[in-house]
Amino acid sequence: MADRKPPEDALDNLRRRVAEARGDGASVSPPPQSPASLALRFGGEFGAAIIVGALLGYGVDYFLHSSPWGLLIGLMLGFAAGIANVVRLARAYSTAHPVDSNAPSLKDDEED
Amino acid sequence: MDPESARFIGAGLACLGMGLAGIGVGTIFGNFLSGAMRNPSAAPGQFTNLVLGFALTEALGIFSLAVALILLFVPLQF
Amino acid sequence: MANDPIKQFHIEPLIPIEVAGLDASFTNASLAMVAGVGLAALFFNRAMKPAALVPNRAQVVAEGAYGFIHGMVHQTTGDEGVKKFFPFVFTLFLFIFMSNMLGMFPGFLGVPHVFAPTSQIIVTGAMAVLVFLTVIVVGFAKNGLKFLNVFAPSGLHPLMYLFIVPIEVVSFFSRPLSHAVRLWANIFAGHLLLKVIAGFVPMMAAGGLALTALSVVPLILVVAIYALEFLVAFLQAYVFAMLTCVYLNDALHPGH
Repeated sequence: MADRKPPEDALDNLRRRVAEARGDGASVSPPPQSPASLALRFGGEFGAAIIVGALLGYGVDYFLHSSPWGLLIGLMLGFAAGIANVVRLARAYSTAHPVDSNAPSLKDDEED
Repeated sequence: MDPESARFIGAGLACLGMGLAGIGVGTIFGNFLSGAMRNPSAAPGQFTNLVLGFALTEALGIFSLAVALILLFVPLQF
Repeated sequence: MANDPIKQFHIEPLIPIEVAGLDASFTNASLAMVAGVGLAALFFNRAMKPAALVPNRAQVVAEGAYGFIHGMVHQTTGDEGVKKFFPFVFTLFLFIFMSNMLGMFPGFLGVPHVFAPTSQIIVTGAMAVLVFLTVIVVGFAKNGLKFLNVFAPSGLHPLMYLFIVPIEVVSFFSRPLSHAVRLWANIFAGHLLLKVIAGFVPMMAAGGLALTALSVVPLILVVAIYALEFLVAFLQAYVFAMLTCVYLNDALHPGH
């Protein structure tokens, strides 16, 4: 077939029909992440923030000769940033994968 | 003992604290998961508490990391 | 150890080049990267050659990949972002995907040690820094000083900004590191694991009667992990491209 330039209305028609067949537009569903890469992602996000915070603090120390306070404060800031990163990630993840609110809860079988 | 080598040994010992903090974090997440498996619908409500506990526990580990980093990278005056 | 699992990542110069005292040799990593780019270009060129209304198989794959990434960029960055950044993101995705895939085929063009270039942190780091600088340049060029809003989420008590802004700054600067490490660690760890477990097979097979029989177990494991690695190769390219979109979205719309 040598129809290099198909007529525009035919393409539009096809696009409309494809969109109809697919439902509302072309929906892209991200592939499921493996648990290992998810764990790596959380840990990497947390660790990277700490490392970068400590490095920035160390750099400040190096230029301002304020050792060891820059390192300390940078480490604490990096820690806080890491937690912020992880919380942001976890929130995004749990909104993308909501818990079934009708899920049955198990009775506590401990004797207390 | 040579103060330089004492510094490195001290930094290594300080890192033990991070491992112990790891135990604590594992306890927190393990208990959260076993609770969440029992009552999944209540789990999202406890997310704040989970993060708070994680932050408090991990902060102690970060303190020991700070001690180790200071021992390693801050020149000491004798 | 007879089969060093790290040896697969060794970089060997193929054509030694030295520029002003710096070692700029064409190595097997360079070859793998060139092969990744070349394969992607060749495939798309060949697949889209007919440009038929009713596509053949290769064209379906090419158009599917295009549509998939186009949809993702559109979803995360909106109409404006897709116009500006789609070529960039699609190029990154294809390059990473082809590089990952190259690592799955041992030996290539008669070169014994071709590996996934993405298992070198310098490669992923360079790409992550490229994305990071793009975000900063585009952010400042488009929004001016308003881009600094990315560090200050709106709707907080004024005193809170004292704490939040430094945290956000550190969080912003930690992005290229976690961006690079995620891709690198996934690919590196996957290939390392393959090699280590594959190394068990001859060791156990030479170990005597019972061990020889048991050496089937790591063999099956290697095959299973190999299948998983194909998934990881695609998934990590997708995740890298998606995070690039998320970061680029910040450049277009600072202040979340």
